[in-house]
Amino acid sequence: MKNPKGVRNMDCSKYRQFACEADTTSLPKATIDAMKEHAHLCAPCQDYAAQIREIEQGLKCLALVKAPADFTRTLVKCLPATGQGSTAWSLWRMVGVAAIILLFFGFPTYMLLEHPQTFVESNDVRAAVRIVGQNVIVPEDVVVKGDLRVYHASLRVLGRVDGNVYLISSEHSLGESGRVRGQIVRLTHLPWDKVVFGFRNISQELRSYLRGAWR
Amino acid sequence: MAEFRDLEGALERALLLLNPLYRAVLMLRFVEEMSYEEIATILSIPSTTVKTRLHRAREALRQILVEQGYYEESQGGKKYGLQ
Repeated sequence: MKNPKGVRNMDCSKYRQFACEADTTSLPKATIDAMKEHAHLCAPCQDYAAQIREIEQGLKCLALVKAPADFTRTLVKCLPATGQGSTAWSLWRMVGVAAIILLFFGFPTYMLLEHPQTFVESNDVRAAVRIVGQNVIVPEDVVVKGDLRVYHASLRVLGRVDGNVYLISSEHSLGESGRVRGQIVRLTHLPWDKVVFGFRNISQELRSYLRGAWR
Repeated sequence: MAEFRDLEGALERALLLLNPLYRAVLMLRFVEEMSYEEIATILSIPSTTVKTRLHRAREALRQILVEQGYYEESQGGKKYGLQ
């Protein structure tokens, strides 16, 4: 073997390192020979190696303390208790997450069902949609990049909507330059329409949050 | 001169002073006679780290025994991992 590690210039430090490694690593023969040669000339290192071996033997002979007779039974009793706590915590966490999801995604649906006043929602938060009384106006120079949901209002589109328009208990009109690229969906007060809209709305929210991964 | 010649007693005292990380690998290796891979699995560390810790643990234990007077200090070497 060429240049086994540490053979050249075997000193006390290297010898002690290899002496400890002897248990964990099969050292090359040349290294072992170099160690023997060094130990032959260095009494402290001989002592060191002997001490390390003695410690190892001593550890192997350590009398283990026996566990009390009821230790295993007590341990087993403790385990389900820990498990129950963990399950309870998981349950509370799940309830918390469900509540957050319900509030987050259910809010627009709640608005649809319960909120009678004029309200507008858009995926494009920068769109300068104006609300004047019960009128929602998309001005001429405004482009709404995404869907628009209008509640209990009269929508007047003078600019452009690059998405669907959902009219909930609302009506709409297009100006001369007004344009809607997506669909115009009317929702009546029928409960089924509200449920369908609710699911669509959740789907819409999910898509906007998982953009890229979904589409 | 050593204060006591009972190796077992000296080791038990020394183990109490040893860094718990080192104590764990020593106990698993020499008392429980586990392989490096088994120790690595139990402690969730790579087997190379097990070897390194074992190496340092033995040296640290010897150093404690020297300080307790069980062994005489020899020249060279270095101290590791006293708690």
